Amino acid sequence: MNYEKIMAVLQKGLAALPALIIAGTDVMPLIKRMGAVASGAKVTDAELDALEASIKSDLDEFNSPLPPR
Amino acid sequence: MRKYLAIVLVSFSLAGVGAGCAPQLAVLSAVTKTINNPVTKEDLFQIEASLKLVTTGLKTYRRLCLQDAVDKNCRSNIEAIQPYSRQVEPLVVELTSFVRTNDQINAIVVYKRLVNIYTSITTEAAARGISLGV
Repeated sequence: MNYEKIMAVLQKGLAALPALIIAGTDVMPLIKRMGAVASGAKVTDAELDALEASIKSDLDEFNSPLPPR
Repeated sequence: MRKYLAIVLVSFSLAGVGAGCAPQLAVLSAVTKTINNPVTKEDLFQIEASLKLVTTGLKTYRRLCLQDAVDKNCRSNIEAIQPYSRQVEPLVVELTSFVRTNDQINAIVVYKRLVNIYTSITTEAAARGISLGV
């Protein structure tokens, strides 16, 4: 068993944890709200505006060209 | 230590389960949109919320890629998804405008295009082994 390789994989996993936790906790309220809207709750214009701004922000980051290695 | 690990695992599980179920609600209604079954603000919210779940996943994947914390093909994976993700924002703006002015003919057309783009992104991501939780 190659312990160096295992440690490298573990290290990558640990480095990824904070970003994954933030992403997971960020979307939880939205998932609950989707359930409420599916059950008949009404949506406001302000809510839509905020959601669109948030999508735009994510897409601006994701769609930008990757920096050189 | 075990307690913290358990909290983290539960958080992942909940996020995964929630993200896996909720978007289906929005996408399933896409095929039935007609003049008699118009695109409402609530439909707009559901498709945008589904897209938000995807863009959160994509943004996180990119950040991890730049930290070398995900697979080695991540750069080419991102570049393969970008042609689809670049189409999302203008469509969201158009759909919002059509729904707010109750231009249902155009709203239905754009709604279906947006659902198709959503499907393309999630399918492309899944084919490349990227778990977006949807």
